[in-house]
Amino acid sequence: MCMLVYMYMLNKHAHILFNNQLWATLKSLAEAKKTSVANLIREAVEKTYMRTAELETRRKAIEEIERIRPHFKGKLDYKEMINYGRKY
Amino acid sequence: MEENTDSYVIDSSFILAHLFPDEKSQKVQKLFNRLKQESITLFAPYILPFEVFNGIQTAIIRKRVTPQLAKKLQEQFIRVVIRFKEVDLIEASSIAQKYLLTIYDSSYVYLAENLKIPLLTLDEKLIKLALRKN
Repeated sequence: MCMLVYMYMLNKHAHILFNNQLWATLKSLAEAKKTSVANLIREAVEKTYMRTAELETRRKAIEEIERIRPHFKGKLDYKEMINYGRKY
Repeated sequence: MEENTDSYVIDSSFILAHLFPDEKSQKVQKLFNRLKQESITLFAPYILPFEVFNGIQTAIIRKRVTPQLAKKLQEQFIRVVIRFKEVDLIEASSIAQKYLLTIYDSSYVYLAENLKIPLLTLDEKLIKLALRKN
């Protein structure tokens, strides 16, 4: 039922080149956080790109719901709907 | 509802009011408009999808929605990226006893208290409880 399932098995290898300044910054950050440079980079990529992908998925889902959903006059008792559905 | 918060616990009544809006769903629509544009994180206990699907099931039984349309709504609801969190049932039970709630409802209250973020709900009792907490 989870929306997005990430597989944390690390089985893809990338060779990345950095300039001296960026490398020094990453190394000192990794030391300060007691982690590896590779882990820092993975976290940054996840935060930057995975979050964007998630939000785009959500936006499209909400727009589609709003396109197809029925509208009701009066007031619906959502709590009662949840409890009634438990019986079936 | 706190307007500038970027994390919320959301409950099933709030989700159902978006799937099946009535005349009083403006507050709900306002939040979903923000969700389309802003980076907001939604949290819920693992029971949320079961409750939402129960509500959809009721709508099918009462012929408010066709099974075909219900399926499409279910598919899209699953894509509204919600982060499900474990609930400490002993703590949730204490909250339920203290405020005379069901365990289902107290699990949302537990999560909001535990994460220190607002609870999005249409349940009057939970709204009052959240206001008292704040």
